[in-house]
Amino acid sequence: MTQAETDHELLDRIRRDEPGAFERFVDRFGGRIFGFGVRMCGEREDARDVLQDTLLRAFTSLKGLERPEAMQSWVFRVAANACLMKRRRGKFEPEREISLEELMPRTEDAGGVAAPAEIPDVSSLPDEELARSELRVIVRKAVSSLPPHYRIVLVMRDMEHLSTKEVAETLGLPGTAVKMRLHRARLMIRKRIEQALGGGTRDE
Amino acid sequence: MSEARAGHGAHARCKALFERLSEYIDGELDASLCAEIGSHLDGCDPCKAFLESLRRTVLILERTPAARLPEDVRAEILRAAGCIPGGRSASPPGEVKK
Repeated sequence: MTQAETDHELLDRIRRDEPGAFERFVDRFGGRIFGFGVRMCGEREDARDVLQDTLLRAFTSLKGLERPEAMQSWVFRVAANACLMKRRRGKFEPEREISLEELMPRTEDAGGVAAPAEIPDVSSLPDEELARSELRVIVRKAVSSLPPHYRIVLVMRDMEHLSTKEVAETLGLPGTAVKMRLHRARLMIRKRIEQALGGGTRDE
Repeated sequence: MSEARAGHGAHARCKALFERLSEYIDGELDASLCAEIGSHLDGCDPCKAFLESLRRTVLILERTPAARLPEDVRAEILRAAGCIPGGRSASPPGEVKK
């Protein structure tokens, strides 16, 4: 099958039980679901479970999908629910919105021993170098530390490159809520990267 | 919005724009608000520095590579899903050995 096969065409072929169609679905989304699961759950084993849960749902429900153009959102919604279910089996943490006031930079932040570290500019850093850098570990820890309802929006928007509209559709949230959570999540990540690079271990 | 800016919380304009910086970065603001923020940034070095740090943060997130699907997991799933026409098998992928 050519790379030009659209989600619509792929879904049609899955519905017709064409040989290889489900395999192509796995190849199209499997890696992304696994990567998403690792970012959301923080553990590869959990991500493996999320992938299998998502594919099981796809195996049983995909044919009934009414809007083929929504296949990506559907897949991420199923994967997101699987991640959140894993979370619920663990520590219970009530959702609350973090006020902007809590994230505004404060003057006393700069009054400590060390000046805040500068966020590095990775625009010209080669991919392989970025993959090996300490930044990758810092980012993984920072993302894991976010409350799940912020983490999920940040991972979908900034790391899985879904649009605001797609995230809103996937999570059943208004676009304004997606934007609000994304901004707060980015502010938290920015602060944590800064703290990590500055050698501090402070946390909110 | 620099930490170095004393009494930053008192700067109402900075505070109001602070809330919209991600939308500014993402190009999701209407032209008039975008121009307003641009104009504020021209005259506010701390806000400009903070915006740059946030922009760099987003770039780091966007470029941080995802974990790759292990070949053995992919192979197990395809083996379970690829046994009958359409890729469907008697054993759904959820029954893949963990």
